Amino acid sequence: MVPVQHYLIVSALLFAIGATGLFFHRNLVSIFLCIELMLNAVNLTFVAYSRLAGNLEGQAITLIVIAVAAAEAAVGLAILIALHRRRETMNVDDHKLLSY
Amino acid sequence: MESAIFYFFSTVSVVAAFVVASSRRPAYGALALIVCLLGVAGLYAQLGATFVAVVQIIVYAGAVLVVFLLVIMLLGLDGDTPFRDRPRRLGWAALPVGLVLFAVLGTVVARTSPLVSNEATDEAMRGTAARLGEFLLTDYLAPFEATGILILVSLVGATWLVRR
Repeated sequence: MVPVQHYLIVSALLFAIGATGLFFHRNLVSIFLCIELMLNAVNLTFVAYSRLAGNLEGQAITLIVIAVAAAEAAVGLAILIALHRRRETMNVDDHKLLSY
Repeated sequence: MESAIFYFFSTVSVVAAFVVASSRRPAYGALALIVCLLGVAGLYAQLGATFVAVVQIIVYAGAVLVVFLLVIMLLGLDGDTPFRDRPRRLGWAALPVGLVLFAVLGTVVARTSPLVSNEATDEAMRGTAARLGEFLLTDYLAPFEATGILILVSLVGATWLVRR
């Protein structure tokens, strides 16, 4: 049996890679993909701890997080399409109405 | 054997995550994210969470990421130079951010007590699909129903956002 700690390390690695990509990109779609990656890393942590504790709460939370991520993707992609209609660019540096 | 499967799935998902974080073209990033999600689904299955693994493959890799690809291709976000992603001016500063984040998380993991599951937890994980359904509809009923409402609201919101 692989120790649960190894799963946690993989999860930390995925989360850190996602955060790096989040700051690295300036294409809105790529940033969105990195957010999904980070959500997924957190899900892995939940399932690993659920396995350790021997109860199902972590798995139940993971299922709910997957549903919330689907909802988030729907709204996020709708915002993306609306932005694309208004301004023909996906560069986050061109969308700074709310930044200052 | 079990650790070989673990290292296979974790290597696949970490390499795919690198591609997601570094690819300049969103379509390649989305395809790599599908591979990463499949790798993580393998890890779920190995942790005994078979139902979550199946949901991950069908809903996440199957539906959500396909919608992502649909939007990328529908809007032509992957085509000409204005949509190509160049790193931000200070984009390389993201690298130390990621390293520090991983160091912090790794320290937290390393400082927890050695985590190895035992017979009792192995037994508790058996037959999870039926037990997970029962758990969701008894102890977790309120969050479960709230998720249903959330999905309905987000569907209406998404349709409203893309109106002409």
